[in-house]
Amino acid sequence: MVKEVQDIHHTREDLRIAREVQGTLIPAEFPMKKYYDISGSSLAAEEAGGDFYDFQKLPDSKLALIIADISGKGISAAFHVAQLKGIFQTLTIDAISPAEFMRKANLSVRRCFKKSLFATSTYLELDPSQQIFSYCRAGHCPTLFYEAETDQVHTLSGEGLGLGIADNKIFTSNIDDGEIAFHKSDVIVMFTDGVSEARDPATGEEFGFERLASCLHRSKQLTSQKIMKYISAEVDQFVKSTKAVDDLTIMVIKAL
Amino acid sequence: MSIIGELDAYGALEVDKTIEKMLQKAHYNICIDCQELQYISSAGLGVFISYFELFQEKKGHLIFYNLNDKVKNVFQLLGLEKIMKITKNLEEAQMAINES
Repeated sequence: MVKEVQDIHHTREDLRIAREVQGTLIPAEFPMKKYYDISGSSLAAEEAGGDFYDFQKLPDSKLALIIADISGKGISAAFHVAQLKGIFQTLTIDAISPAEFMRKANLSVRRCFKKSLFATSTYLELDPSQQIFSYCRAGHCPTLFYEAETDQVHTLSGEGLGLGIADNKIFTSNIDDGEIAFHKSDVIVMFTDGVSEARDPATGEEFGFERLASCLHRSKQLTSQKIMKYISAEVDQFVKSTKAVDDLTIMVIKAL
Repeated sequence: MSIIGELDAYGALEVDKTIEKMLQKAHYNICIDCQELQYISSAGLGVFISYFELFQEKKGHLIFYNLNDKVKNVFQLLGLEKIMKITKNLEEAQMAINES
């Protein structure tokens, strides 16, 4: 009996440590505050999760941002988060395009993950001197882009295969990338499917991309932190504060 | 083969066993009825992804049919509809096998 209690205690302690370590894998703050107001938040459904975001300063004063969702949940997914962070940090030492990053990341993920695992991801490269951002999507949820000039929220989606699913020949022929002007007051929102697929417990209806786009439009004038909190609160209200069944991650980038 | 309800990590283990058994009997053309598949998690998708290259190598087919819009969207978002065959019904699935 005593041993069983001790085992439970040790397991809980291990899970707490896993959660704590995972917390150190995502950044608390973002650089380039002169040009961008950036916030991110990630909540794991279990003790640790498979969602991830990160940044890296690139040569020529550019900034790389990534959001990713690793298949599965819990501790095993959390270990793969650490691997993906390593892949991201290593590949972005050199200046490479978002599409090239994804090609190389696909190779690395195929080497590191077992066959039934994959990751969805979106990679952004912000260029303050050109006032543009380029992106590449690998099977991840669409990115929302609020364009202040037209007062419209655009959904950036298209082709793009998740990382680790197929070899680079197939992966490359399905790449979805693009370049978009990014001016003052424009806002980018990236998220994982735990947000868009959050369900109303009574009806089973999902929060969905359209509600997210509406949330962004209603909160567009706020700071990135407040936009993020507004979206999170709307999602929480939608699910009637029930416990999340999937990891929830949101990143908001506002051009200053 | 048909999948009913929600395909999560636990269900994925069952599906994995079933596919493995079929492959052991050299059945390289498998059609999966998804009419009653209401939800598929990433772990569920992972099972099919893990066999993707084997089916390619064996020049076989792993075909999904009768998908509801929600499940179809999950396949589309991940780009799986580009590499895996999805048909409206069993007849189309069989036709796809016969044509190749």
